[in-house]
Amino acid sequence: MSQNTAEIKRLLEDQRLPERVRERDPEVLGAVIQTYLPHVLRAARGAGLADARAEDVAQATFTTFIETAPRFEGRSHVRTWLFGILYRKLAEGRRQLGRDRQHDDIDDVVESRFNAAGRWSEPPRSPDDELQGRETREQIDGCLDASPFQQRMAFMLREVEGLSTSEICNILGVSRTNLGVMLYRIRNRLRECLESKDIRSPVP
Amino acid sequence: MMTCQQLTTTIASGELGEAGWRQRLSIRFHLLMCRHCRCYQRQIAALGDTVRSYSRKAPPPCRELEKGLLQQCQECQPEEKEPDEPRNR
Repeated sequence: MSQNTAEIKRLLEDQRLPERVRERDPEVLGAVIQTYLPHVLRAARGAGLADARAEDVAQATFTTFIETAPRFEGRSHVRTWLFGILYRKLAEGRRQLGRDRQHDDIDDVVESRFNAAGRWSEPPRSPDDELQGRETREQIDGCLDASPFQQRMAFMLREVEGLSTSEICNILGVSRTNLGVMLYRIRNRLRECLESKDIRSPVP
Repeated sequence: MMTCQQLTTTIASGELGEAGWRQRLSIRFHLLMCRHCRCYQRQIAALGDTVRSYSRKAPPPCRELEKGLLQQCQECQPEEKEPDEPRNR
């Protein structure tokens, strides 16, 4: 049962959406799947899973979504609810939750680049604007793999899915302040990572 | 006046979008005067752009996965309200 785009849009914008999700109306659940499967899959890949694993987790996410649909209250967006399920599935599969900690080494690295007056003592190296190459992608992936999982999810949900602050806080179960700290850390980590690799880049 | 360290913290934590007009003005002024912070801001933006563009180029979900899930929700009857049923994996 495949629905066309206009029909799907109408179903998802319907005021009775939460109610129909709770009733497990197949038409509505179908619209949710068709709309959000690519996003959930992309987020699973963004968390570092290979294609086959990402598809398994996406499938498990929607299975749970269908099972728990009668409990959907509609206070948050259906997309928030789905990403929340995905996040918990991804976290379950890890030994450590990868939660953001009180202290992170990146804080010291950033700190060391400024003087006591808060001015740059070691300014960023001028960008080579060629940040699009394949090598960069591998560098970024390597650095993301080395980052705490929760920071990585925060970054992907913000940059790739373009979700709002309150939506991401809801999905990850963190405060706005926590989220700000996590984004600050991962962005600086990635930036430092690319910069230091860049310095060594002449080596073939 | 905001220091470079404060400004870069605002940029990286994503608080820029939530700043009031007074703070935004002071940020704009700082960026106008400080090429290092401009460079930092460009790099942070470029990171997001790069990850966004390569993530969005990823292959679409396979049709079978979608078909399987659509099948699954056809099969579950609307009347059946059993949230605690065991997961079928």
